[in-house]
Amino acid sequence: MLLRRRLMGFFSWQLLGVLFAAPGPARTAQAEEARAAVRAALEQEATAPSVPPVFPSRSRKETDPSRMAREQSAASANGAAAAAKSEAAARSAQGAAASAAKNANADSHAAAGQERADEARKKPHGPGKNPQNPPGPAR
Amino acid sequence: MKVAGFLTLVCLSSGVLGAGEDHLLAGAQLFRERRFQEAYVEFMVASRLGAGGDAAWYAAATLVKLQRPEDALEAFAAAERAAPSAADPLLDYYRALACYDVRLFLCADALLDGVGDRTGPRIGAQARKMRADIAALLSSAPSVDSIDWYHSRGEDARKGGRNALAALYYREASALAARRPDRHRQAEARASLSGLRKELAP
Repeated sequence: MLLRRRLMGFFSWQLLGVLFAAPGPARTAQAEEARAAVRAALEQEATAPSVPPVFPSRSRKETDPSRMAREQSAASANGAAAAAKSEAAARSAQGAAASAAKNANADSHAAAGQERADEARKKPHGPGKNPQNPPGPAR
Repeated sequence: MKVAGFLTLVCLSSGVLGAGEDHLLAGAQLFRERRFQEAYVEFMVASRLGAGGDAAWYAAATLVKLQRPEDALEAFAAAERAAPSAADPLLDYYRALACYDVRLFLCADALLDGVGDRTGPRIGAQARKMRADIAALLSSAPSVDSIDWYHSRGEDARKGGRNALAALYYREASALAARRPDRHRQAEARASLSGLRKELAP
């Protein structure tokens, strides 16, 4: 009798344990979500090799493939950085050129304005005061 | 007393399982942000916390992005031993990249053959391009010097206790030797492979 009670107790605890420990729908969904997120990230970053395949050679100084891969990557990164730098430089230069052009335009406008003002100052005001265009005979 | 102990155990185990998935999510986010070193740590933690066998595959794929192709190939082999069912075409694509990076072109080609278009059109196109490039390379017989290089790498890997990697180098050496009329060192490569298989067998 005592043995049966103990056995019953043991099995009911076992059953409870299985129920608690079994992954519920929420946990399964969480696990699926995590895997989907990783897969999406892996797909996004699945790039192609940047160099064509070439057979290795013992005579060349290409003994460590990992190092070679790192060097290729570094070269590629340097290239990308250089490209980004040159692009930024180009953008900056373009901006500077545009600014300079704007300034130049403004300067030329200003110069033209100044010239007109100077001319206007030199010019005698009033009819018949212009030496180059003498007034016509009096009627 | 027993009840309290039992519940503590259940709570702890469920928390640990949930934490594993949290680390997978964190790893995915970091991977997307190209913070591969940190992503690798997250995937390794997820793997240790029992977030499923695929966490080890993700960690191996991250090693490819970290420009550690030899480590990646060892990690892929270990992940395959632990959870063979977690393999899929996307992970095979990463594994093929690792093979390609260490000049295991036949290894890469075999994996890419299985990738096809099952990973989407973009990756499918990349895989086709890689296969075409490899086919062009293999249209000429490999030199003796190249085959010697694979033997040398295999020996180094074996000495370093990286038997799975060594087996890949010897397999490549053997397959490339078969493309030459003189079968340069093919028997040697096969003998090395045979020895490694015995060591790799459980």
